[in-house]
Amino acid sequence: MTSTRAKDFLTKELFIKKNVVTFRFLSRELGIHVNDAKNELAAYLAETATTDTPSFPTYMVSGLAPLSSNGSSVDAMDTDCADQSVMRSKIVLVDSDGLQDAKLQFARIHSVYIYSLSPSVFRDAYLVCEPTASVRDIDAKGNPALNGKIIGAHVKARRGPPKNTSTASSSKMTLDAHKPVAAQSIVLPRKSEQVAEKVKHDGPKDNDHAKSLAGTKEPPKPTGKLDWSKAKAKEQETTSGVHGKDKTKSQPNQETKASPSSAKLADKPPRNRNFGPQSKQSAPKPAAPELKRVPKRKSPDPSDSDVNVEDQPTLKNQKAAPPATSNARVKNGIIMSDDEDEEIPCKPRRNKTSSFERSLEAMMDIDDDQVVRMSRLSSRRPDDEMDDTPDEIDLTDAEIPISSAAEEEEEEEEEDLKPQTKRRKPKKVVPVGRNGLKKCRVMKSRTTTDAKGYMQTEDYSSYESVSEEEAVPGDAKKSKGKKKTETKVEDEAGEKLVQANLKIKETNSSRPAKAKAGKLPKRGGILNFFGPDKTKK
Amino acid sequence: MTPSFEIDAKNKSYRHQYANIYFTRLIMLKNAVEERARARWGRLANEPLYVARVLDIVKSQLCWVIGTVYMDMPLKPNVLEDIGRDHSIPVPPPREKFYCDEDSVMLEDESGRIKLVGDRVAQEHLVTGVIVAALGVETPTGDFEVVDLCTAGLASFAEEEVVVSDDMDTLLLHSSSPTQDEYVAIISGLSIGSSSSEDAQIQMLVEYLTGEVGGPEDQQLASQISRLIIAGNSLSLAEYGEDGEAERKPRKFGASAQAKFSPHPNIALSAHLHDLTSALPVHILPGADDPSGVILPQQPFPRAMFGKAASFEGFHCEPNPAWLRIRCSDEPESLVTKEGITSSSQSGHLPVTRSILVTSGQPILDMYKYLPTPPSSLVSIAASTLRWRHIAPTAPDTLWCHPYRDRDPFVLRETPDIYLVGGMPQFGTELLGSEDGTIRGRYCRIVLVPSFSQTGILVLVNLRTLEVRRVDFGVEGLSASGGEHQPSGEVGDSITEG
Repeated sequence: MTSTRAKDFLTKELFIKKNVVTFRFLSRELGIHVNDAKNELAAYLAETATTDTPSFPTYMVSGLAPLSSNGSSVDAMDTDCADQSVMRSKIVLVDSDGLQDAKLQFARIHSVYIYSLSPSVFRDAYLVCEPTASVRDIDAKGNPALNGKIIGAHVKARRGPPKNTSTASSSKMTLDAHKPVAAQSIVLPRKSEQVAEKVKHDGPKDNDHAKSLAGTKEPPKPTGKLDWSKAKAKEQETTSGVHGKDKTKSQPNQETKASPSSAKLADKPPRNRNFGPQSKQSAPKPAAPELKRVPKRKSPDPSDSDVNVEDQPTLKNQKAAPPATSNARVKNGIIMSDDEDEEIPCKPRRNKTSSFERSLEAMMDIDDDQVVRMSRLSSRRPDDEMDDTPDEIDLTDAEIPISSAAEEEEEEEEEDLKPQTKRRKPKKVVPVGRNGLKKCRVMKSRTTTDAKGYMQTEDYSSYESVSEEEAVPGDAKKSKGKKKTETKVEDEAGEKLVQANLKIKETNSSRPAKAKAGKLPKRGGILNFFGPDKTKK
Repeated sequence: MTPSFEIDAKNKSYRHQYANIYFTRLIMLKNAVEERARARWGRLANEPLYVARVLDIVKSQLCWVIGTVYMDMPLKPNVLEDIGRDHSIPVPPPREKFYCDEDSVMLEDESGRIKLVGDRVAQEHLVTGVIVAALGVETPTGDFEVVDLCTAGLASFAEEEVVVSDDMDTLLLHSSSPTQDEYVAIISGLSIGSSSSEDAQIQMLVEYLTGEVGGPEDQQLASQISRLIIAGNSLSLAEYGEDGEAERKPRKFGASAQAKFSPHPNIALSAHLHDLTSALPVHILPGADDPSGVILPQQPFPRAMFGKAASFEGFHCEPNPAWLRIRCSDEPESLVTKEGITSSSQSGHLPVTRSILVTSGQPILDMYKYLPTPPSSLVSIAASTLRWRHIAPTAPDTLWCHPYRDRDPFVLRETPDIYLVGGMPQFGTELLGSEDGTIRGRYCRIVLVPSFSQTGILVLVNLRTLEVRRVDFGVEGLSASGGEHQPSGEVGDSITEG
């Protein structure tokens, strides 16, 4: 049963090197599928069981755990938490003594096989990890997919030049010229395995169950072997194309045998198996923005950002040379870098005098208004590269202070004027209702949500027409008094001017508002004093 | 659309006050709560008055108000106590639970706060930071006697619904459903480097995910796993811990002892990750024990940390709460468009896009301290966070988080299809639908992923049906560094019973 190669290897490892041999290690060393390796281990164990140098197996049992039996509180709790049953698979590593006990835990056993052989019974499960290092080494060199490692579709090295070349070659198969195609072709091994398995499942699956239920230690050989040989053939076709580092260890005669079936499969799998690998592969693409993966990678990519950096300055240069410098000044750090970057790309462009001249012309055509604004910024440091436009600078320097100063004066004047006008207004404006009586001030409050989302309640007073009985001067007096004392701040002067009969109080700390806030209470006091006269009139 | 939990250099400022978070949160969730509260209380006989601010509550009149819950708990850690502590006395260990009988629930907004009283408040199991609407009457003592409470409820789902369920059924009947299924695998708490780390189980896990372990059935299931999410705690905090290590060392000393201690846990993790990423895409989140910041949107691991694993495109370092959007379909990419959905449904393969929200569990564990456990469990807390539309309401209070100024990324604008919580003491799952039937037929799958090193559980979620499977990895008969029997219940039991 066991091949001589496997037997030699196992004997050497177990009894000369005194190593633990797991099925993975064996499969890597012999270049066979893991399921075959499991069978080899079982065969070896059976052969050597009666000899004077027995090896000690460690079993792995996989299957479905009972849903809510076992009586353990854990299970009861789980079912409590989950209103619907959760399918529970279980995989247990167990030594030969505990095998029977371990099997009792399962409701259905999928497989029982030998995980590893060791020269002596070991008590620490960690020892099964020891061959892992060499397994990894071999995986790194070879193609683990041949050994039964299921590799997803979109698993790619990040910046692997060999992979890219392989995409080119494999792109023939799938007519699409996009990059992901490479992934597709890599996917196939996984698909084909799957399909092969699926195909097999119809028949042998049941046999397996029967077997496993019967408690045989034998791994499900037939399925494993047949499936994987087909799969392997398929894999080899694809992976050899893709990776270019195919292991030729697997049996060629099987390959030929399986090739028709694999060809048959080749059509199917893309649909059946796609959902696994393909969706994976497709998932990142549409979802790229959400996952932030793509931007993350792209951003560091220097080419993009460089292009932008270059483009922007050139645009600026062509439109108007001065703005570029003025912008530069605003953010010093950026400019420095910009200048450095620009130096190289810009110089050649300036040599093309046509564009530069054009930009100069454009600059000359600029309206005075625009020039003023730009050079105002530049005026702070006028010495930069502005040699050719000194007169403009002078102009703007002269103009700006004047205009700004004038504006400020105007503003001050306005502020001075406003209170005066307001002082007069209350006297004039007390409106008269339709019934001939003067309107009465009424306190109201309204609640609004401002731009920041804060809820603000404003107390304001407005005139309302009064019916004749209510028109008691005393009321008006009171309400007015209240209003005046509570009036603190008014931030929108324009609104006040327009709506003279509406006073809005807000707590705001802008500069003009403060000024008014200082004045208003005083006035309130005064007006309060004079108020009765007004309303009586 | 979905908030990013990554903090870029622009926002990396710690100067801001935390008050902004509460304010932003209230603004973000107020409308949703108000809408739902109106629908709920608007048709009451004498329509209760809506009061915009807590301080405007009208005395002895039935009214309702929206605000942020603040739990005033005497046992809650208090920075003033820390400062005032006598340093000659050793610091008491952190409490497992904060709650006690003297807790009071406050409702506050930007104007002020009011104390909520009444049985209804206790039933609701609130924690600090939740936005609720409270219907009730102000009592003569100034408290607010609550008649009913209303939270924001489930947000609309992030992804559009899969076309029709009828089609689904018929399809499932005639096409073999299991082969269409696609699973996402989730683990948490590998705790590599801890004294009790279970190398054998991790080894088995890796072999399982790469499809090498088990019989054909196991391998088929493994081949349908399209993605692995590692929800935190990959490395152990106490990797060379002084206290724990000293106790265990004598027992561990032996032939295997030297072999156990790998030169660096990160190397071991990277090696496993390399095995995994070479087989399927892996998303790794930092967790509480990982070498990462403790402030809550934990930023992604530096990629270079993982050596060769980082050379794969399918390896993604995610921030701690992370949104993933995963599409599973059988169609070639060219058809994945609007039309693609219909055409593909005819051909029997529905593309499904699932949004997944993953956290490493710190918010849930923090809220767990607020609440007495018999009524509320970890699963119910996780479900509540979805109904509150906030995954980390306790964030600035007892859970450390970044001082966001103008946004609160933990607010759920959308409900994920799958909500994964790592770092949990035990496995748990629930399918959560909306209470009031506003979103019909849509469910969110909540899965609590337990620590792998303690329970050996790998969780698989079917992207198509949202069905959950768990795979237990165990070692029996061998002294598997503590994993002799299935220890899955030990921690969980103590917590759920406590």
